[in-house]
Amino acid sequence: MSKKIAILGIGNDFRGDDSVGLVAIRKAKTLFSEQDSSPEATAKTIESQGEISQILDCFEKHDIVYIIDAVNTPTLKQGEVVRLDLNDKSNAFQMENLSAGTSTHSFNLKQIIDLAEALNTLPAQLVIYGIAGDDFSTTDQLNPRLIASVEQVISMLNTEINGLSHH
Amino acid sequence: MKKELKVKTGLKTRKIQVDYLARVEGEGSLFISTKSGRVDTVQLKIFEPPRFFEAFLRGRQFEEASDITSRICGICPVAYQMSAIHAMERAFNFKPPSFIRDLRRLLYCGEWIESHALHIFMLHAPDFLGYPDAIRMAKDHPESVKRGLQMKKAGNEIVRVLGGREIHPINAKVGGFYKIPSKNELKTLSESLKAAREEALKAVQWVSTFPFPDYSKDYEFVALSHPDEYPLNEGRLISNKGLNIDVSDYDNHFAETHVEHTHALHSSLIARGEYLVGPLARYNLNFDKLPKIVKEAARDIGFSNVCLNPFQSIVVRTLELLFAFDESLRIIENYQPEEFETPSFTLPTKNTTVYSCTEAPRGILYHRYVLNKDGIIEDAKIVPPTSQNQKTIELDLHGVVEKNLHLSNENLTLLCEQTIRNYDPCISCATHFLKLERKDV
Repeated sequence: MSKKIAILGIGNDFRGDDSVGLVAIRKAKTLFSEQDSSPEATAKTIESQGEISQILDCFEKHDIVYIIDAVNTPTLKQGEVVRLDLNDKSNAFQMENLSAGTSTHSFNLKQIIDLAEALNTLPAQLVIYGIAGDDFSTTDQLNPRLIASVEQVISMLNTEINGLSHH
Repeated sequence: MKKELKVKTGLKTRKIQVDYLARVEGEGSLFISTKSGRVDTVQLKIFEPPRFFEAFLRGRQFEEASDITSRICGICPVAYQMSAIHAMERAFNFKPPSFIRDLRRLLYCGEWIESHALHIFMLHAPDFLGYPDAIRMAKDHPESVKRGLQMKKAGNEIVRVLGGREIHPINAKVGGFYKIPSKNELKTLSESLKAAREEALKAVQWVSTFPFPDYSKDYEFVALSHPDEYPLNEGRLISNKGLNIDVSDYDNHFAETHVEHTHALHSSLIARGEYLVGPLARYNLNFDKLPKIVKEAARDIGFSNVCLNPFQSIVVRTLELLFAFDESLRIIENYQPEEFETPSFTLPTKNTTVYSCTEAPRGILYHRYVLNKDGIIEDAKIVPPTSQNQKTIELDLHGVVEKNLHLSNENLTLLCEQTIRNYDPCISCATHFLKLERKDV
């Protein structure tokens, strides 16, 4: 039986690099739609502005969730991509250090994941593709370096999701 | 948010400093000093970068105000839209048809539900149950947290269906809505709202069991009042101490002053000083307008129709949550859309000043605009509810600390944070410069 897969692009169109998750998911939409992919490799693509109940709902309804979001940390250069698999315990340190939210009106992603864990509603697999941002000021422009990173992440996701159908 | 507890203790001096306040929207810090066993100084410091929205609005078309101001806040965008829209419609003496009026109330109910559910379950309840945050509370109270999230989701759905999307809705405009929903589209919300209303009844029971610190005060409560309904979009401004004015008279009764230690302005009644807006004010001034289900729920938990303890604002918020679900269902049940086209508005022949107050989840939100004869905004003034409560919050902190100086610094700090969260302050909205001078080139 094919697993229910979701790709969640989280971001804010008006906070510079923080829009990268939304840009990515809009590009990913056609690639993973039912018309263009094999049944085993389809995934629901969801745009999110980080709203807590939407994200928790997505976790509860899917077996595998991929998240694309901007991350902000001094250990990564702008545009660098990091893949964090929640099931990989060696990622715990990085998760703790990538917990700062850029929104002042909601819970950050780490807190939402912790809440899902407390409520026992985490998906069986949760993977975060973080794209390092640098400029979160009020602008609707995304740095071109991050646009290249979006293509990289989509390619990695495509490989990963297609790989699932062979297991 | 990070919290650092800095304590300086001497023989007679005590300082409590919280550099970052957790579980409020935005960023703020608190400074309290005591001297010789009495509270000496209380300062609630706002250090969000000042906002320039009032300046952004100058030179924009009147229709743009609702979408621009809605960006001030991610948790109460509908409030900003409604205050802007109602203000602009005054310029044209426009009264929307009743079904549009109902849709606006429904949209506002959606926002109240989103905001109140988030605050009650994720921000404030942990204080009363002794948890540092909702995540740790969720481990022991999963059903209650899930209940809160279910209710928030129901509110999100109202805003999505009626507003076009859950966050920063885009469907409301001066004169009505860009797209009027069909009866069936609204009917799809009914089942989840009915279930959520039942959950709200359970939530009222749950919060009524919380241990509430003993504190009360003779506040001046200020809220909208309408002859027929619990206020959301319309009404006169009243208080329990004699205020009864049209919103156009706001600037003759209220004043803002810039306080050195904070970027937010402090509001006061010119005649009497500090006042309180928000759920406690609405409830105390408009209890008789609440539907039967809410009045009975209050009676069942032994909750009076007058509440003077700000710590019990969580109970009032939960009762308002119940109201919002019930009102949403009433509107959906009776909804009859009509053929309607937004009229073309005849622009004023000279500069016109327009006003509005609507009831954001946190209290009255005042907008005032000056429009020129081309419909361009020449000046704007926005007074969010949290600004209006700033002074009262500081005074309440003073009073709470004064009563609890026997507590350890750690426990007193937690109590101060809980006190601030009584007002569900939206600090991100409550900052702006008093004046901005602009030279047109």
